[in-house]
Amino acid sequence: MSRGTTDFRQLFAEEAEGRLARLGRQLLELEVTGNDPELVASVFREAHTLKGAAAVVGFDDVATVAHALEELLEGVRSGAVSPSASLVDIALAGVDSLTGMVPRLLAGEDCSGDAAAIELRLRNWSPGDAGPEPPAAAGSIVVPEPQPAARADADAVSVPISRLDELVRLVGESAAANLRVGSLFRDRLEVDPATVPELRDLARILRELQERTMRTRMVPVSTITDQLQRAVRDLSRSLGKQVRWEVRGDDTELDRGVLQHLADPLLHLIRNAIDHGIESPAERLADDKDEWATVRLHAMQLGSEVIITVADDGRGIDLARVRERAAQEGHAVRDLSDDDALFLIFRSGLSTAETVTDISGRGVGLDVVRAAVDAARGRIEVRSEPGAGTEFRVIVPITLAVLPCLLVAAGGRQYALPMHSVTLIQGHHSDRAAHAGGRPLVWVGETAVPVTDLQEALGLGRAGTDAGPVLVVAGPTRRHAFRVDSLVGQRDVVIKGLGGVLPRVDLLVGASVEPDGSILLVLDGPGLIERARLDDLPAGVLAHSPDELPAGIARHTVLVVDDALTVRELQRSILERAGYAVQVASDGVEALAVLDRQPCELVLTDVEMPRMDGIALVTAIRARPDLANLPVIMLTSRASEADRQRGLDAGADGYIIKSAFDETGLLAAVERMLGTAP
Amino acid sequence: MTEPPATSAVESDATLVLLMPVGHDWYALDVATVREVVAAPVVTPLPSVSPAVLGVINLRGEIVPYLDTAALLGVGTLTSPLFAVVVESSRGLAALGMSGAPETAPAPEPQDDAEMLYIGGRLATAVDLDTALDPTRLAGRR
Repeated sequence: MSRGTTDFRQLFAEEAEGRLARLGRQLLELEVTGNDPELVASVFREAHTLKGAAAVVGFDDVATVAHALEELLEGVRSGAVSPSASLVDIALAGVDSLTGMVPRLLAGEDCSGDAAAIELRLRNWSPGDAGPEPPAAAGSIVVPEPQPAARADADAVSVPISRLDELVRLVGESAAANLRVGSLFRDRLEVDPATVPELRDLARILRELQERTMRTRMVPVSTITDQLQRAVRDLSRSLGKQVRWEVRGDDTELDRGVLQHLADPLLHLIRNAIDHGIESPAERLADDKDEWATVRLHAMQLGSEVIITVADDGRGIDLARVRERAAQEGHAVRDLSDDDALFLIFRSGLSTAETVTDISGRGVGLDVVRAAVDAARGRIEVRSEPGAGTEFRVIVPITLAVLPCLLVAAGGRQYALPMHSVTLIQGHHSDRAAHAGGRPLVWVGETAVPVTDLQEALGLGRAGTDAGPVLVVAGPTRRHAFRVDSLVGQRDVVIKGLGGVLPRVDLLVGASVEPDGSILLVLDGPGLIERARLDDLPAGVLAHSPDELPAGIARHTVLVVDDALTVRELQRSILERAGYAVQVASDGVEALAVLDRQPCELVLTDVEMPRMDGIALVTAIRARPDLANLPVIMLTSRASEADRQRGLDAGADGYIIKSAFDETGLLAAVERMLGTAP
Repeated sequence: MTEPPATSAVESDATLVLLMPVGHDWYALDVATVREVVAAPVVTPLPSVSPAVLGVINLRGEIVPYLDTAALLGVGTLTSPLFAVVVESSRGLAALGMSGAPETAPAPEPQDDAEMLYIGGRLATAVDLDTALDPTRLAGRR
């Protein structure tokens, strides 16, 4: 084969990948929307174009199957057949077959047998082959809005990811080289590089270049939701279950490498939800539940992390059964709390499924899910309520590349701590130090926060002095203070992994190679907090409990309104630990009902919610004389000025963008509104 | 300023094995898996890791885990390792600590099921990298 033909075939393979993905997506949409002429025309066009392009590069097997697919779809276009679930089934089988065939043909394999088999199936299909009545009837699947920005081809070029990786690496090296030049100026010329305008400009340009380069690797979560939607459809059909699929926040972006790590774990969680979590329609009806179950995927950026939630409204995890199985496997479960016992499902070999199916239930799944999330430097949490459902929460960093860090000394070594996790730095003040239950505490405003020596948390023994400065570090749900020997400085750190050989090190985000060749370890704030909690602190006395609030602090009630359980619970946790009483509601209608029952001093609401959104809620609150002066803060992922203005016009008093959300910011906004700021 | 560790490239020859001294014993590695040998590596210890992980080293800008070969092989622990052999495993680079300088020797004829090999006048145990670097051996903490 000539070089030119090879190149064209490679080009065809890249084009076919996009076309087949689009075709699959449109077929699923067709099943939901029915005979939408525009959509039918688009589906037909994709198959037709694929056929023509395949013939041009000599992939006759692809052309043959695409032609059969085109003829099948011609029936829909002409109105002779309707886009039934059965038709979509066979068309998707054709798409799957083509998807598998193209790379094999590119590698020189013979696919004629497979092509003939699927061609025969496509040509022999008739409307009478409907098979069992599909549960996924029209309207059953919530199809996310098309993502033109993410998938537009017109102004985009396809670049191999290896080239982007090389760019990211080189930019990282440039930043490191720039640091070395700065060191040379300081050490050899005794000139502070910050005072040289040319060096300052170079550093600024490199920072910007680094940020832009990182962005090239970012992809929206929507790039993996199509295959998840497909899995929901196929599995629910094969198991005779009725399942709605809902996606929110799939425009949330994160590093392609991180997202790649998550594709399989998320697929596994969804398969588990449908196979084990969701009941049959008859069981659901008998339990007074909607016979249509729902599986939701919700992605959102929160500070420098992305939280992806997979939730179902099925039967929940049978905790007693988990304990029983764990005991059979030799785990000591008697003294475990329910949360800890639930976490046992991530252990290898522990499946509570009654029967082993070809979908899941062999107990080799959730441990693999956890390992994959670990590999993305993330963590996984689970909540489950019997009869109401299960929610898995996967929390991963957006990127692992560059972080602004605080440099500290502890135990004779230097460490970096990402700035986003440090909320406060305090010098040693003996008047602000306190003890409770034998543990050292430090007062942060009116809140007592436990203190641990960083040296001790890192397993380097006890520090000789307690006179060093204290850093207050915030995780997603709690704060903890760490005493260090000294503060060294603050700068951007190019973070590298510790190599694929090591398992995840809980206390580290990664490490950086310094200009002098030494290695700087970058600490993980949430990991440190967890270690300090587990190692040093007796249970039940973390920070303050609302009942132990200092005298004189009134207990305010905050109403948190958000349809995402994750966000609701996160806010509840933060506010309750800060001493507030919290009421929750999942949409505007429920919020108004809560306000009728219980007076609240502040409402913290999402914008986009079912039934009644945040804007309508604020409008309704402002229209009621008894609530007109109730402060309302909006918390939303919408970052545009127009959206912010729309919220403020409706009567909101404040606005927090989720991507910039952190515990400190939330508490500061609440304290400002309620006048409780110290 | 920290000087980069002295290194030496290993002759690329598939017919050779690298003999590593670990404690009082010798272990043989397929030379095709060996990237280079580093003398007196500068080690940065890691907090809260398995005793088999001595820390990480800087290999010309790349961060490589430095491992206690004796602990990985289940034969005690290394005391003051002087050299490290950097190997390329299926999961990435790793530096294996050694008690002294390694040697190279011609690879012996394949011997079925033989745990001990007589190579270059020494009795050595063949090391299977995938087994030695199994994640379960590197999990846990001190």
